[in-house]
Amino acid sequence: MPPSRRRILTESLSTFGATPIYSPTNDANGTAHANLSQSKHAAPESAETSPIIGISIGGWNIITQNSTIGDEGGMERLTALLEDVADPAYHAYDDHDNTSIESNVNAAKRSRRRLCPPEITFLHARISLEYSSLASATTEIRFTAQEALMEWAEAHRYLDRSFDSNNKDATRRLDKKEYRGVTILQTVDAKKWSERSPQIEHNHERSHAEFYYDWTFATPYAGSIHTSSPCNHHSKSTPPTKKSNVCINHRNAWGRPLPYSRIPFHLLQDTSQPILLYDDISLLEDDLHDNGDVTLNVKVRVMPQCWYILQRLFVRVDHVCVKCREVRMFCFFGEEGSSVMEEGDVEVNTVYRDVVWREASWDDLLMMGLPVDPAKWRDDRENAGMLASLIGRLPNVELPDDLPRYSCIRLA
Amino acid sequence: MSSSSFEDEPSVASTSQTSDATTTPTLHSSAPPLPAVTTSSSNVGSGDAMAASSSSSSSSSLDSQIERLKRCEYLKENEVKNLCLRAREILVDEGNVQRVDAPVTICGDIHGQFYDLVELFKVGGECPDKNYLFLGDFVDRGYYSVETFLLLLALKVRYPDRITLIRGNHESRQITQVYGFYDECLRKYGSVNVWRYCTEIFDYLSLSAIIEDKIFTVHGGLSPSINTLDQIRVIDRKQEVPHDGAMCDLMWSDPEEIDGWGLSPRGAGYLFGGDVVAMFNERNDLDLIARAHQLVMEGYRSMFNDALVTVWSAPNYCYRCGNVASILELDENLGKSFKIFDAAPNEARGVPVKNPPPDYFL
Repeated sequence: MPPSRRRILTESLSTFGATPIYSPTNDANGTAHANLSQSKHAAPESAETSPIIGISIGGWNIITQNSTIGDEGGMERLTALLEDVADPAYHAYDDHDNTSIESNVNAAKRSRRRLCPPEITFLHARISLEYSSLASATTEIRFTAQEALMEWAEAHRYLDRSFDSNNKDATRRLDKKEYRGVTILQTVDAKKWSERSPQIEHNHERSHAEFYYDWTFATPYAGSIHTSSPCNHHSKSTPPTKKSNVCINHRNAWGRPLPYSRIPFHLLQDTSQPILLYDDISLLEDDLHDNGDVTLNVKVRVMPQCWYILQRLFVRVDHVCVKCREVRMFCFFGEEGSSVMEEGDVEVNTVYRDVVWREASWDDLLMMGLPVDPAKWRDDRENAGMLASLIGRLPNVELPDDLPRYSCIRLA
Repeated sequence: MSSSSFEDEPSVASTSQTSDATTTPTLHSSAPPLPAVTTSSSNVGSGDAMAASSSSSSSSSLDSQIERLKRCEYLKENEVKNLCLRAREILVDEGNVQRVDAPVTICGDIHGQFYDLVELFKVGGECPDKNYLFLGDFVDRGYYSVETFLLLLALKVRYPDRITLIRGNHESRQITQVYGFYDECLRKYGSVNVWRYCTEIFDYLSLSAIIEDKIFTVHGGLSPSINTLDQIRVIDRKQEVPHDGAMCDLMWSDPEEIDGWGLSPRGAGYLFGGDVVAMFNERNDLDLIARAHQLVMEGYRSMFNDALVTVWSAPNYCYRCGNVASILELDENLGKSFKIFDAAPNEARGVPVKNPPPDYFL
């Protein structure tokens, strides 16, 4: 089990009207997560033995969960799910939806796109922030590895299927090189290999099931939002009917774009406000087969009147590129009309989200005078300070159309 | 130092706990700079004078070095140089397909997790009581690559017939400069000399092993340029791991549920299917391929109707994955049994778990 970085200021919770949330009982395999409406009524007798996994404050239930990497069965199920998401037409012969991106007849003719999830996938890790008011719906904002990978897999529906772009399937001329920031890179050695491999294929026929996917796992994921009303437990936001058209993670339900960031960073620097809950959850990592690294982690801190999230994806492909994608979320749940709201230009129970993508090729690094030694871009704790300052110097890149740089969603 | 620093990192303070007068590293501010191109012959060969002195080192001094290494104390730079010279004399005579007798215990990646290597020997029995075969990736990632590799190398020199070390893709100049071993040498010795001695020895490590003519072991996997073991035997291995070709494939390729050969999505590196393994085993009269190279949560994974097995020996990989590790014990009749083990308890690491304070990140 990875060491927990969760810190809860247990002794001060009551001072700020907060209460602890206990782990549900029989959480032996770590898979069950607190169903938050249940955890409110968590039996006091379990409090003695169950660890505290989160806190309840200002109408919000905020829990975090660490996990080990997935076992063989879990990873097989994840792979099957991601392959379905990436190539929904392949199996969905009964889907007569004529808006699907490819006719099923063609899908049946070609081989299926195959994917491998990251070697290190913390399958049951999560951060969940759930808001419920008595009268209306419950809204959960969530960060998990599976959701992050589903959004990554989904982008493959629109990407080239094969190394050999000249020999492209005639029915798929619209395939793109890049979709929502997901693109299929090659290592520095790949060119040498592309000159050599045809020779090999004279002797050995290459497999038809080709692994051709974004092996850097550069997901556009920016958290997910799930809404349900208390009387029926069906999801309100997107009824999942047509398999190939389901909007993964309900991201269309996210609110309106803003012209500028409304996250009050000056208030977030006020260290006189205690951090009641802190955690840093790793969702996934992969060493890219020793061609670099990818890490996706989410930090959360909850203060007496607000919470703040930073999700960071960092990709380094040695001698090719570095990418950093950050998602920040902020919500104020203190009293209406408090000075924070006026100073900070924030509304109560409105979640503000900033998204920034930075990226540079190795040539860009050289031009900008940034380090071109891969070790300088290593994402480990000895190098954390150095890396953070280097990331700040990377140029911003454009975001996908459906991912506004600044936005907010007002909760009912 | 980042907010995420905790547990058993050997900080400056904790290193001094384990250092005694004989192991305290000296800073070689005047150490010779690393030549732009290092050739294996020029550097190790220049130590002819050292070779003379090394022959006078008795096995008792080697035994005391092994004892120190087992306490996770690293050797002095000169001791490393001598050890590497003696190791070279042994490794240079080994074949690219080193013959190993059963019974033997096969171990996968270690990645500098020294205390977990100590745990491995507790679970599997000490060397030389037991015969060991390590499938490479001794260094990088973990905090104790220096101690891990030197302990294995010292055991190799002391008991050459009781331990076999083959090369993994991390036993490479280029990879160790990115994934930790280079920085660790620099931090612990104040110069890159120890890294140079070790990487020169990497070039001498064997590429594969064959147990009782029936079980083929290699770090990564098969290569489309290799159909027979004799094709491995003729490789000139004494070089940095190349970026393509048979030697590269042996250290880098992965089995996958496909037919035939596949190219990795990265554009370099091969995937090989069950039919490839079946054909290779039949042609070479083998029962099994044992390899390492890929993290598996359960410590080992059999594929292709038990024609191939992946063995992984770094528990709780990178100190956070939560996986178990395994070793594969083969008895004298090549009967297989896996031993599963967990990471060494924190108390055994000698460094208290540190909890970082919450951080006002932005």
